[in-house]
Amino acid sequence: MTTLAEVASIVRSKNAGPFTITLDVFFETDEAYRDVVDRDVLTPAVIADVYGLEADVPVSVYAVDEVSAIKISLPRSIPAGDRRDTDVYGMQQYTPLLAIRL
Amino acid sequence: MEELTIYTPAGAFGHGMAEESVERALSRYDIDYIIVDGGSIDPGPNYLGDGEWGPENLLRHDFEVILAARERHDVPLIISTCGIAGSRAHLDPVATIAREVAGRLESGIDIAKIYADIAGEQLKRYVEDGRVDPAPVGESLSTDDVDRTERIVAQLGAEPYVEALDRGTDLILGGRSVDVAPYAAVGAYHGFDPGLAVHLGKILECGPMAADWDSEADSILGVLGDGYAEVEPPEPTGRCSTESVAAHTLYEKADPYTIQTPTGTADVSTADFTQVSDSRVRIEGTEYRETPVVNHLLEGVERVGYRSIMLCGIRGPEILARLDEILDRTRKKVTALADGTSWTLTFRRYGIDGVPLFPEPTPETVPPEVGLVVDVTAETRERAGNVCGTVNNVLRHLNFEGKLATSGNLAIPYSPAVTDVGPVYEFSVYNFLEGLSSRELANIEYEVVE
Repeated sequence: MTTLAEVASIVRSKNAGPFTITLDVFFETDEAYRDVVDRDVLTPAVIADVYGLEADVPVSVYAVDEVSAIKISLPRSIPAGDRRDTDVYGMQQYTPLLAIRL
Repeated sequence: MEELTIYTPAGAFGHGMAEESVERALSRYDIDYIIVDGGSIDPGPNYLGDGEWGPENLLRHDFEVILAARERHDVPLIISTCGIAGSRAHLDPVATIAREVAGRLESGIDIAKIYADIAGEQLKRYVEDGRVDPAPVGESLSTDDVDRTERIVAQLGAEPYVEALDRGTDLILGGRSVDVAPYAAVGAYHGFDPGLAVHLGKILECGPMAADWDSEADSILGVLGDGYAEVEPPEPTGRCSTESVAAHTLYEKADPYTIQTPTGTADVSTADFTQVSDSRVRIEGTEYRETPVVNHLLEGVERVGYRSIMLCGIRGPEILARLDEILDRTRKKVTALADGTSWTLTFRRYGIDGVPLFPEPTPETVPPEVGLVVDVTAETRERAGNVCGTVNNVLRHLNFEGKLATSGNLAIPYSPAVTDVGPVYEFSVYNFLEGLSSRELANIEYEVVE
């Protein structure tokens, strides 16, 4: 079964301000992007599942046709630079996306 | 003015500018303004709290490169959010370096300093007047929160920069500002479309990041014209493509379609990107909406304690197999010995689960080696150091079933083992302030360097 990592060219995470993590997924081909969007692979529910989020955590998913990319934004579980933070810039929080099955 | 040409020599000021690229760009193009961003709040509250603004040597390097170049070509320079967090405590040391470097050049310069600091007493009046909104995080702000806050800045928009431009300033050093503020300012000052100016600013402010990843670019150049903006790297090896520019529009933003300033929003969902040469991309169709109420994001931090850490490594498989239990028992013993709950203890287990912010399944296999950071915060430096030292002494020799190495459990690379890493800050203010202009919030000071 194909995973997201196998059809993506870039998968990245970064803070969008200190309280939000944003994830960008770019694809090897426009067809792969279209396929992921048409089959609704990356829904807020799927993201909530792989990131272990409670049901009331707001997750935004944007399919950006102009660049054939998917953007996902979610609140950080811990604000950037907080005592319990593990990743101040949020650069290493993309890995739960990689194994999502298409 | 038919076209306005803006040069951004790097994605951040004080990261080591490429001198050759700067000189080549200023010689090859007719550049009207040099703009570069000097900070960000993304690394969290500590920089705003402790006033850290460096590294000094790189800021001096960049000033030596850019002030000499801007003098040779007579181009005004704007640096926004000076000194990482952009408060007065951050901007002033940056201004001191600028003054020293500028003082050794042939011609004098006029400097404007735009301060974004908000006094606590003033903010309490704004709170009482109901001008402070719980957004964007949803935490309402009380006057008590403000009392606990050490330093407060507002993310300024374009107006104070426009005022400084109008005075014919050579060097504008901005305090905390939205990243696009100086770009919006030069656009507004010369009468260009605000949506395109903001959109161009968003693309340029990260420097060469909007160029193709496989092309070699150190910097970036933007042009504002009537109904269009264009972008390309000035380096002969650099290239922007419609994909690289459009993709960069998404970067470090929660919402891919809008770019906000205190006075308006650029809507990029209507924008068209066209390749106009091998390396240059044109942007058209970005829309702009003025916000009904002017809105400034405020940032403020409080000191919540001090931190001491100990770094150590563990390789013994019999220790790693029982690490959960060993760390639990260590915590219990330390709690009994160090009496109380006025401290926090975090075991950061690199090699197991040191990185995820969100819960991920723990790996089933035992790794060959684990890096452990013992992280203690407490109300005072002494307390944090004492508790961290207690963890060291307990964990180093803790007994457990199956123990092989009776000599000790930890490889400790540093002596002393425990390091005081200073104060810890958290956000106490992260709220929108409504209904005041950037000009009302900013304090502008002018000076002349002979």
